[in-house]
Amino acid sequence: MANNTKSGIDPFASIKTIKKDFEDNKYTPREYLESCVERFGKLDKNLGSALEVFDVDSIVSASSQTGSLAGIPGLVKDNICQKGRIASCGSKMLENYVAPYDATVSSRVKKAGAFLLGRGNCDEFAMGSSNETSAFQKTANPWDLSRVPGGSSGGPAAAVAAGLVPWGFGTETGGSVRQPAAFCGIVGIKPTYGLVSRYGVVAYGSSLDQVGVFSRTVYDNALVFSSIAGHDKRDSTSAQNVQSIDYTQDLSGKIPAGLTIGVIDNALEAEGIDPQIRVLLDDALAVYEKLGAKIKRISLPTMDYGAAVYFMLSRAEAASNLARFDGVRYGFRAPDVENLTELYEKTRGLGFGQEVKRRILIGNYVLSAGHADEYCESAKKVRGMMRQEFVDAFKDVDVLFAPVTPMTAFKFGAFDDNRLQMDLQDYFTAPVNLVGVPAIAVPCGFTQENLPTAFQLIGADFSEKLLYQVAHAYEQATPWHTMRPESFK
Amino acid sequence: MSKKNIIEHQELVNLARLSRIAMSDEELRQLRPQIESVLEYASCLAGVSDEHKPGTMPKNSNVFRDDQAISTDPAPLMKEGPDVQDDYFVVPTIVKKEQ
Repeated sequence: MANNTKSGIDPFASIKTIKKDFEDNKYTPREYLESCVERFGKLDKNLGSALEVFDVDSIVSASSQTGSLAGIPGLVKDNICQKGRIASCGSKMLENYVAPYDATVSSRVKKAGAFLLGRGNCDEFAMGSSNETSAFQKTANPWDLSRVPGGSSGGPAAAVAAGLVPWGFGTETGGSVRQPAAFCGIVGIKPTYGLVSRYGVVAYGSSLDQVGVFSRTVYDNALVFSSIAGHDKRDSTSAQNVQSIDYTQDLSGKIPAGLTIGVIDNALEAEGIDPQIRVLLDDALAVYEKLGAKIKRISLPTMDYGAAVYFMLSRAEAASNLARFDGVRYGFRAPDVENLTELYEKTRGLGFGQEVKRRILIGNYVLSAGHADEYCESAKKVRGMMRQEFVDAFKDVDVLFAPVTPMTAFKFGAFDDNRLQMDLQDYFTAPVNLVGVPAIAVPCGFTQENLPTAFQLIGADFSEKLLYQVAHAYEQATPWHTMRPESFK
Repeated sequence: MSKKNIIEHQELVNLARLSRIAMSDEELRQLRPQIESVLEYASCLAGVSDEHKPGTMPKNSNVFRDDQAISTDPAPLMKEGPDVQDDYFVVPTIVKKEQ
């Protein structure tokens, strides 16, 4: 199946298999990389997942080529710096900005031998849930090209799901890895805040942002994650005293004895969940029961306010973070201006797209005198309550279970007239970012329209190893990770 | 929509100025209902604090390091500048000369 390259390379092979094939001299890392580049050339015209695929020699020479990811190509979301490459953030503002240094995550995977193959499309400055706000191109969903791949990390997610590349980097502020992972039927992790360095990642909401990993299997995800997790002195929000560990270690296909899964009832029963998704979530829980898990229904009432809190705090932080794009030191500069104020205003007026402007305006509104108490201060208070509620929940259960999205991938333009509905894509995901705990999206089947969906497992701080183990057990008991989108087989 | 969430057009004009973004009246008119709907949605937060027990986020602590000068070649950074002369970024007039 799918051996459509001349050297017999399976484009959907897992990293584990590719590494074995390298060892067995079935093909070389360079041949594998060339086959990926060739597939991008052939198939990405319809998909639009990459903003750029680099030339093979430059990819190889930027990598150490030895280590746990030796010769394994990945696609990096375009808001993560790769030295000497453009980092556009999907924005006209940084269309020609060449990163003068590597983000820590980029340098760590290169050091582990990975090949960074290109730049993945994303919503402008990671603001969006569909990749439609990218200033450059649309990215389609590999399962149905008339639908979005999700966002904001839609490019890398689509590429991984289409078998163009085995893994990708995304970033999350309110769900931008887990939501596209669910829409594309792949695995996506949002780590504990502070476990992965944000150095070299273009900031959106600094108290929320984290880099995440996409892959087709849980093992592959844990393998890539092992190379990036850990303290970084260059990021002062990086967690102290975190040891580098091998996250693939406990992936036995079994769950820990006595595992209790807390099902977030108010999420599962939330209004507006597609009934087909609801059935698939119940099926997933049945699989966990068979695996020996205890299921406990719990309620986290403040989670229902998560989206509202997220809208306020992320926009406020965005307004502050994006103030740096002023046309003076780097990036786009508007022509024909007479004074400095006009330079700022015209540069930002022409350089930013509408979604970014909307979020900056909302951010400055809720930060301004007269509104800060009503919106920002109350949002911060509710965030604290939410944190407490999650911390308390983990006294009774080991992991939490919830939907990732209320719906499967939607058609392009579906929310053009209702931006709030688009924003509410973050409803089940944003609380996790606000609270700071880790979560992993795990594919759990397909609707009648053959569109994938996922559940998320949420863990206590720094419980990634457990999340991988519990996710892996489900994956091994189900066939979803072996499915391939028809147009890319 | 409750009345307090309605933003006057002039308020949006001021907001765009505060944000240092040049936006046409047409653009602001388009954004207005979108901004209002988000604020309306978030207006539920003000009442929440009384209903639930309070909690806190993990305490942040400052991360200090010794202030050490690192010699860095400014050339790659200066190359990013849209308008550069020697080692300076060129900007238009900041303060108008008095006539």
